[in-house]
Formats: sequence, structure tokens, C-alpha cells
Amino acid sequence: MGYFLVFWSLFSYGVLGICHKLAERKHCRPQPLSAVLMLGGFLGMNIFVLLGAGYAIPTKALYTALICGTIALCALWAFQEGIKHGKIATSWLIINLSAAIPTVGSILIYKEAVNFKKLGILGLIVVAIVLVWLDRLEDLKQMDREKALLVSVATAPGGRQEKG
Amino acid sequence: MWLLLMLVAFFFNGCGVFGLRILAGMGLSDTHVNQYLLYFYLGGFLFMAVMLLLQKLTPSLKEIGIGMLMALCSLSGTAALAYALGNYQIPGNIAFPISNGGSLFVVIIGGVLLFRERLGLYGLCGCVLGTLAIVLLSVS
Repeated sequence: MGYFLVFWSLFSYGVLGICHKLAERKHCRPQPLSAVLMLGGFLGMNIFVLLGAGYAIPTKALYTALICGTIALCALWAFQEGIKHGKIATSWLIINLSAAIPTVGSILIYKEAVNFKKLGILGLIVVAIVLVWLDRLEDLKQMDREKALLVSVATAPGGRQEKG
Repeated sequence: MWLLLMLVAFFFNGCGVFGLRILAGMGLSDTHVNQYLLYFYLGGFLFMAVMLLLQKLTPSLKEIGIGMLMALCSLSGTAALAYALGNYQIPGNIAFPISNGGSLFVVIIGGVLLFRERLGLYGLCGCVLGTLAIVLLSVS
């Protein structure tokens, strides 16, 4: 059952990523979409909180939650705007790689130990981002080539019928 | 434009998630994570609600439907992972890599089959290295 739940989690997060692209294809506006997602999350979490220990939380944790929720909302908004211009696979990769930020934050703020493994992982993340950026540049070059081909076909001597 | 927006999303998402680390630093992650997430979602919603009110925008039925589905997926995934870790004692160094790393494969397959997206060699290598980084980060 435990492993079923792990794979259910994998599937849920995957469907979430697909829904982001689906929303873009259906011309959903990023701002209202983000608001609804956050509202849905808030409503759903009420169930867990009601079944648990209640709504009380220390003030510092409350302000941290409110501020971090706002920051995460901005991320969601930027992400939804961004996938209009790129592929969901590479976009989803970048958003998942943002786990590097808490890692760096933990090292800088909480003085967690730096080791070669963490440095290696951060290096891998940088390389992965560069590679998906190069993938995007290749896509743009391909689009330019296709556009140039269309233009050359349209302007070729036999490419247009001119009415006399 | 895509890279700029993705880097903004990368940075802000990372900072948003860092709040859980701050919660752990306060010694509250075992007792108050549900309440934290409740107010986390509330904070995001309130900010965007104000922006929508100022612009006089309201969500369409399509946006409400897809947005709620996304919220359900997000909560479902998080809850399933939490139960797997807590109630069924699945080790974190197994659960997190499968959940986080594996979801990327679902998205890639979805992108190819549903949206006819194709990854070039650079994109493929980027996804492989990125998945490796995610898995290693989850394990550590």
C-alpha cells in the first residue's frame, strides 16, 4: 500500500504538470488560474486541519506561511506565462530543479555542511538548465528556418498566382 | 522570454518552498505542517485575489475547472507522499526520488503524446541530468 501511495504521488504530480500545459492550450489566463489553484489548495487543506490539531499556529510560522505562499504564487504566475513560449517537459524540469534554492539557503542561512555531493548536484542543475536553454534556442532556430522556407516558397516565381 | 520567465519561476518557487525549511528550523514541521500549508495557500490566494479585484478580472468556468483539478492533483500528491512516509514507513530516500524524479517522466510522456512536443538532443540530455540531480537531491 505504501508503494502504491508513492506511485500515486508520482502520478498526481505528473498530471499536475500536464494540467499546466493543458491550461495554456485552453487559453486560461495565468492570474485567475493561479488564484483558483491557491483557493483550491486552501479549501483542501481545511480538511486536513479540521481532522488534525486545529488552526492554531505560532505567529512567526503564520507570517512565514503567508509570505512564502505569496512568493510561490508569483512563481506559479511566471511559470504559467512561461509555458506559453516553451515545452512543458523542459519547463517542468526547471521548476523541479528549484529545490536547489532551499539547498543553497540551508547552507548559507542554517550553516549546513557543504560537501562535494551537494556541490556536484548544484553543478548538475546548472548544466541541466543550460542544456534545456540550448534546446529552446534550437527550437527557435528551427522555427526561423521554417518561416524562411515559407517566405521563399510564397515569393518564388511559381509560388503565387497573380491576377491580371 | 521563456528562459527569463522560467528563471523567475525557478527562483521564486525555490524561495517559496524554503518556508518549509524555516518551519523545520523553528522545530514545527512535525506538528504544524498542515496549518502551515493552509496559510501558505491562503497567502497566495489573498495576494492574487487583490490583484484580480484591482483589475476587475474574474475566473472563467474553464479556469475554475482546471485550477481546481490542479489543486486536487497537488494536494493528492502531497497527501499520498505524506501517508506513505508517515503511516507506511516508506524511507524518504526511496519515496522522494520516485515521486519527484518520476513525475518528470509522466510530464515528458504527456508532452509527447498529448501536445506533440519533441525534445531535441540538448533537451533530452538536460532532462536526464536534471532528473539525476532531482533524484540525488531527494536521496540526500
